[in-house]
Amino acid sequence: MEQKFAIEKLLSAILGDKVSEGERNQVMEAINSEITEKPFRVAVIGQAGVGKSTTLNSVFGLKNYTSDIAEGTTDIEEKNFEMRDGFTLSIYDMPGLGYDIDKDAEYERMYAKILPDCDVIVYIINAHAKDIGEDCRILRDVVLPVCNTNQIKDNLILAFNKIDTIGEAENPNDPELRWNVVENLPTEKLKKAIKIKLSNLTDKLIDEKLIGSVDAIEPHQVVFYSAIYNYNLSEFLRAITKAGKRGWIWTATVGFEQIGKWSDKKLS
Amino acid sequence: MQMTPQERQDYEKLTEEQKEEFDYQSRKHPEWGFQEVMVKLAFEAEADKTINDGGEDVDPNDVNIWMAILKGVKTILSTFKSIGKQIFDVIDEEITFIQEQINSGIREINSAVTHHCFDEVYKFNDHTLQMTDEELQEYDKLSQSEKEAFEYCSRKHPDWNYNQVMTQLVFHEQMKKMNL
Repeated sequence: MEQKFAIEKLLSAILGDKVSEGERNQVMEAINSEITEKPFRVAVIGQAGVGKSTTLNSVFGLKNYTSDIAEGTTDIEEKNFEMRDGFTLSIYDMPGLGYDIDKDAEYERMYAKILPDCDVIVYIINAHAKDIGEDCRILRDVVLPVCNTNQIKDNLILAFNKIDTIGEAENPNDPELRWNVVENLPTEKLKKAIKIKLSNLTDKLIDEKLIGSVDAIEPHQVVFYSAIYNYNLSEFLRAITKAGKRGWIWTATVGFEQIGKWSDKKLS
Repeated sequence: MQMTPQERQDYEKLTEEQKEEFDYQSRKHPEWGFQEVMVKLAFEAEADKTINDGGEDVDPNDVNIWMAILKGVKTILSTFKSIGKQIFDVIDEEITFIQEQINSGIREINSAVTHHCFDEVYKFNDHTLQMTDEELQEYDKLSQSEKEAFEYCSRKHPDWNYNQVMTQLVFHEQMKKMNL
């Protein structure tokens, strides 16, 4: 049987001659059908400007994807992308809830309809945002209840994008707070600013009981990264792999090939 | 902070530096319980690692990823009634092997299995970390598996000093304890 994906090669090596050829073929067929017979569904939720498109391009290997979802819409279409060898990535590009509490029920219905079919749910937040209180509220009151009801809490990834802009948001006139694009690293001063910001964000997540308590999400479901600089995507890949029952499929098929084109974006 | 006997045991396993941080965080957030403070410590360690390491690149030999993949495969295969016990035994054997690698602090698979799939198996160099007398004394107190993990880590990161290698090991222990 032809081995198209990394997981098939791995399983073939593991099983070796420890099992019969018939048993090995059964495993390969089962895995192959799981990979190719239904798409790998990803829901990406976030306000305009949080970097949904860059995340989909760098993390999920899409080419020049541009999000065209109008804020406020609840009419979401599934978009399919043939990755290779029968493996299809399916994206639900979803707007954030916004700041209109009256629309909570409408959005909750939309999330309840779409999210249970998704293998991975990525909720993106701007890491440089001054206040993430509203995102915390949406997660706690709308997204997590849907996830808990449908037993898909493990599918959720809370993704803090744009950690590269934390310094500029603090002081746009300080060049030492800008990302070092040549080395693709934060400067020493920016490192300190990022650590302080991440510490504050963590405090907020704990205070809001989104991590560190019963019914909260697990620490590995929270990732800090920069999609535009492919920074810390390895953490993102780990989170996807551990997500729900089918998260591993992404990594074991095309994840390693697609993610940030192996992450490094040094310009030197 | 009031701690249960189990929590007290876990607290005692922290390094002096971690205990100081724990105490600082519990004073700063008196409303937090033990678990919340531990999560905070784990996040701080993870953030430090991410930023100090420069956000490590995606590594196809990352044991944590392969462990998660194999567990996922097992879950899916268990939904197929035709798959026999022998298959699960072999996969379990491999999961145990990888878990042992994780337990010894090794983050990349260096086994025949991935060698079949990838050519990027991490190669050791012959770097030896220079230590002060005090650091050497502390190093000697480590268990054999901790020493192996220390050696591996210091060879992988020849630019790291003693404290950086130890921090990495402590972080790894903490992650293990939290089942990450």
